[in-house]
Amino acid sequence: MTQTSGPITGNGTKKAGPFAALSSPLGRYILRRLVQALLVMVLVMVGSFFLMKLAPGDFVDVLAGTRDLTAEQTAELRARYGLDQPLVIQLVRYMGLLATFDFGYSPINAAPVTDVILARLPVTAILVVASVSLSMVIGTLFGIAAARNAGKPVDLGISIFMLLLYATPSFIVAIMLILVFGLKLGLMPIAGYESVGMGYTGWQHIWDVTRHLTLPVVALCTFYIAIYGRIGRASMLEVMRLDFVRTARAKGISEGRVFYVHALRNALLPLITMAGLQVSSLVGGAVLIETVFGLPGMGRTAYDAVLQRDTNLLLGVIFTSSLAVVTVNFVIDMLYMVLDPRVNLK
Amino acid sequence: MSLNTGSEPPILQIDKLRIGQGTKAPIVEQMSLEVRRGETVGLVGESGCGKSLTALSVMGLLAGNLKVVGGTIRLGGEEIQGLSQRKLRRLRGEKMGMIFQEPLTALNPVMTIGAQIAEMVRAHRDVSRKAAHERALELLRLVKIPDPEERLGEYPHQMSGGMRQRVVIAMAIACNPALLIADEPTTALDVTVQAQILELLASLQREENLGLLMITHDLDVVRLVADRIVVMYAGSVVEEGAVEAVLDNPRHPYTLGLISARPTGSFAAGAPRLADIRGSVPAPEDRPAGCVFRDRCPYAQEVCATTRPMLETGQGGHAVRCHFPVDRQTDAPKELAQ
Repeated sequence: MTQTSGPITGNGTKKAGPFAALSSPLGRYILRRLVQALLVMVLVMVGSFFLMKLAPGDFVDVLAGTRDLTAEQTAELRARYGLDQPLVIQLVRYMGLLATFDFGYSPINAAPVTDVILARLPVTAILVVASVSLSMVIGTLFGIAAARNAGKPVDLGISIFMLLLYATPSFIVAIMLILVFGLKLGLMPIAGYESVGMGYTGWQHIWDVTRHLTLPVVALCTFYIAIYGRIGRASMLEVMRLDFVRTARAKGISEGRVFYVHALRNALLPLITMAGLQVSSLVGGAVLIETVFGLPGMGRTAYDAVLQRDTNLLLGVIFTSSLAVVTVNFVIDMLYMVLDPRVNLK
Repeated sequence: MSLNTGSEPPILQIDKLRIGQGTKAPIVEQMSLEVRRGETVGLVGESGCGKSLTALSVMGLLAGNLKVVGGTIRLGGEEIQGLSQRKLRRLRGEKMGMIFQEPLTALNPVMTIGAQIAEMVRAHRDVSRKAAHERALELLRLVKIPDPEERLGEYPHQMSGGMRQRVVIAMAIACNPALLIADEPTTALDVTVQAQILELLASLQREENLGLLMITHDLDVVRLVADRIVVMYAGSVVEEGAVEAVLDNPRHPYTLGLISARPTGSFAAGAPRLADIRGSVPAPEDRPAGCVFRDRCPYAQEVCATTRPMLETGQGGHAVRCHFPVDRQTDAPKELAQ
């Protein structure tokens, strides 16, 4: 299914060296996905561009609201950034720049968009990776424990706890965490990405960032722990009813092996799907948490860019987020294939 | 018909088994059955009569809140009820193996064939990974799967139903059990494949001297492979005996009905032809007092409503649970369908 070696295709045509991979099913599949991804990205960018332009005003109006600008000054600014041109011309210009991975200049931040995004990407990346893996592992463990003890007090206890996590909005969790661990106990920093002006390097820096991001990650996790827990429990119980589980038991292998080897792997697929959705919603969607903890992440960057009509920056953020989502989707599909041999490349 | 002579206890001996669900009426009761080494016993009956539950209770695999609430199950003379899960697990696979009805869903879709068979071997034998792999290969050859080396690395969905059933059989016999339980092993397969699987089971049974309990609703299958037949109705045995004796001269009206209901007609000349047995199997809680078959029986008399008939053993071990057993040799055949 995933052979990549043979240069001979099914109908016997010989392909040249570097393109040999394209003749394998996996190679063709990846190529097709790349083309699709490109198409999706272009559509997203064009759509976002027009949406942004639909909103009244531009960054010059925003600037004009905060300081005195003469009519000549505003006109000059608009001309400098091409805002006086027809929309279509602006779009073509922008897409042209984008094709060379130039996101343009952010007049509000007085820096190239690329620099602004690169400065903020790490915060979001850490938040997303940490909270997705943490919530998936913890939630799945809860789900497994509940399924193994289905109908018993442990199951009931976990279900109630899950319901509590599920029903509590993440910003409430964030505020509670700040109040308890930050203010009352004084254990954790309550805002920011790192200690300002300390000039930490190496391990000290890593430890400092970890301490700053712990509470935000926990706040982002709670809701998803409940989701994974509930999906995991339901999925395990469903799989445990299937015929092959009975066959496995008839073989005389241990109940633990039946549960963790035979059932678990089959029950993981819905959880993987959920992980994909979680990543997509967190990249750029963690605005609330980033705001509560004062973190310079992608979500807040996007939010500020909308308020300041900073089209270039917003489009840059959207581009980065879309790229992440498209990539994650691809990785998820690949994971599917690894986990379930029945999933083929069609 | 038993090939076994003398004192060795039957490999499987079920006596007065009762299977219940909570406080509800028992689903299986007064169920007794013996399988000797080297013998094939066909267990027949309509859907819902308790055949599969009986088999699952032997394996200790009753699901949900179904439980054995009475009677004994002996494996090679040893009572298996009350054994710890650990000991019961050792018996599964080592002393008894089971083949299920649906080969399409009986195998784990995300594990290779080889891994699933090897896992079975390693669960019971202290052997290396390589030795288990070798054994898996040997088993695939034994169940006559072509290209066994390649098949070991394949997943169930890459194989046909018949091939998957062969894999299930290979797994069930991996640790040389003395008892093999086959629950409708050919029902889900194409007719041509059915014959191959039955042939395979029969030859394995002979070569390994297995006790084979073949659960089916197909009397032709029983005729083909079984030495003895046990007919079940509404949770208990209504007739049993040597295959020829029972099928050629059925004594219980239900057995007679089953034979007559076969689309190809009857085994016995002159048996009444009918499309079905009127009515349906009563649910456990709706079983009538007295004889459980009386509502559907054309011969029922007053005593059938009051007294439950006992399983009476007659000539040649041919047993029947009926107050008025049919005797084709003396009685004129009566019309069952009304």
